Amino acid sequence: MNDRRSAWLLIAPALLLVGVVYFLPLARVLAISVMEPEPGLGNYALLFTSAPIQRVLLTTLRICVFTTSITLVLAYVVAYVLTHARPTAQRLMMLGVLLPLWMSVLVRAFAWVTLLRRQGLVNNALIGMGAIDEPLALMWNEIGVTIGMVHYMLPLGILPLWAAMRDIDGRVLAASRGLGASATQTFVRVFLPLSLPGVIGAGLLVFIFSLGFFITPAILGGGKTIMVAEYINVQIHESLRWGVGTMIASTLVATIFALMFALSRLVDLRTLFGAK
Amino acid sequence: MAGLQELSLDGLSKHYGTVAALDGVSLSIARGEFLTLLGPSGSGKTTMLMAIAGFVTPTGGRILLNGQPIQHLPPDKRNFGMVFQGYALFPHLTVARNIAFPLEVRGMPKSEIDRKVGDALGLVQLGALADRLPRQLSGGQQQRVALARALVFSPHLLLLDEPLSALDRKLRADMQIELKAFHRKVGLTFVYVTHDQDEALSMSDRVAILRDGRLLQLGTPSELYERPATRFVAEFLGRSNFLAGKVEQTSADGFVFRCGSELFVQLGPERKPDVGTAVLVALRPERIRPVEPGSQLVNILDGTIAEFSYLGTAFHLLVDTAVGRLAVTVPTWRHGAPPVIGSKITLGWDADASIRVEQD
Repeated sequence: MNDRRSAWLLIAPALLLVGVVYFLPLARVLAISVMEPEPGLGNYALLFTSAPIQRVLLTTLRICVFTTSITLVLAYVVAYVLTHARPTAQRLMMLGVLLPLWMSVLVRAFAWVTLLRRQGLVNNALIGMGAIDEPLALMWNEIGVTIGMVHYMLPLGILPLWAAMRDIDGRVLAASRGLGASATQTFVRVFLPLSLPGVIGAGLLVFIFSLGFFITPAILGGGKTIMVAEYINVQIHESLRWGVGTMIASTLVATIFALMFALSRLVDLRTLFGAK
Repeated sequence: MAGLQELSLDGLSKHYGTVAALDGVSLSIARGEFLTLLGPSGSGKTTMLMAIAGFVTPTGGRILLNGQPIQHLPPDKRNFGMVFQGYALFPHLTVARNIAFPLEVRGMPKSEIDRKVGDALGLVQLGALADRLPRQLSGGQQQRVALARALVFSPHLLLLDEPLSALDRKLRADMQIELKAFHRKVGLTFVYVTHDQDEALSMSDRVAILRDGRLLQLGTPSELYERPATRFVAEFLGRSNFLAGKVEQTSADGFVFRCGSELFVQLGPERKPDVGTAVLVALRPERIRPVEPGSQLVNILDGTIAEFSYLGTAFHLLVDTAVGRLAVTVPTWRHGAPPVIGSKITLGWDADASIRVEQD
């Protein structure tokens, strides 16, 4: 009994912090979305009627789907190589994966600007090699946003995939080869299915992070490609339409909770698939 | 089953840097034979099995299947069945799909796969569990699935890597009998790796004893037990006493050696040493028996009982003698009353009960 009380005491500060600075404001946001400018679900009706809002949501969805797909493919390759590398190489590669995580997202976005702009390194190099005559439009559009976001998301994709692949019993792969499966067959029939829970987990994680992404799309989108987080920012700070802004924010939170719920179900899938 | 194949190893070596995991091993495995590779951990037995399977590339020597070198072939081109330590069943596939796997990757038609999987399930008596996942099975059942999966595609031979090590003692004993019966039924060549001497003795046609990457001795279980070539083999297979002495006298079929103050006679088919050479003689505890003082037996030794334990079928005695402490196993029915610690005892053994071994 005493143990239980001290346990509650120990987690009380954290609970208090989360309650005061997280759940309370969240409740406020929810409240505003149904109170401003007048009580009712008028703001939520905009989801079905407002063309600009639908365009922003569609853009966001499209960028997130592309970002997630590209990130997954690249992360899968990196995680695969990482899993099969020697311990020393593995440590070095891990550093390479984690290093970008410790760099400010702002710095990284501006680094991409210098690479991708019309007079940037990429365009100059391509023109210098004679590959193209006119600079390519690599930023201030969805391409630029997607490139920047994929770069940010890669570690978030690689780590869960690596964890899932590390759990795959090497003997099972050897058994597959010993039973007559080629390296390709072993990958398709054994490795890929066993890594699937990791793929789903990494995919959802990256997708959820992408949905609320703000700085990278704001800088690399240049105000032309607008994703939902930036749109909310504009509603709150510039148009001062708090009702609309909080409504979209609430919708975003609800969507993320739904996806998190799906993710938690998929953690069960790990045992269902026997990957654990 | 496919026609039986003959496998031989010719000077097979595997070096990791300067370390030899396998050091020039040559042996032939007869068709349909149950051969066990036995040795302590680090002896090279698993490396040898993995080299045969194709998971380890030898740094020297050849692996021949019916005279054809196969050491360069990847595992999937060898057509060997393998049962891994811990079974390595595919966790995401049902029992039936696990067994179907080797047939599916060979592109066999569906109807034929279904028929063969059904046969294999029947063979290992798991028909009722076809749709279960491996984690829903007991250890013994998983073991049988692994066997069925390794046999369903009619492999040239079956490789087994400590398949019983994950099972508890009782189940292991049952599975030993089951595996041996299974070997008789399918008539395939089995190459079996274990560090368990009882398993090796009870199941094998022949046993290869390995140590430090070298093949020490190859023979039937009784040959190895009755006529170990070295001290290591005698100690590794069962228990043994060792008498170290010097040859005093030789004859046509044996020699007399001095061990401290005692003289013993040793008869046997082994090579005769010259007078004056140091010899080591292995004497199994169960070949020694208590005798009346002044018995006419050729080898007699007086001693004092230092320890004893009751094993149900036998008493195990430790007896202090002039040549050191000897282990003696006496069947309970022959001993009569329980031994008394500190009491005098006279031990005796026949001249051909012991065997000369090499010190190693």
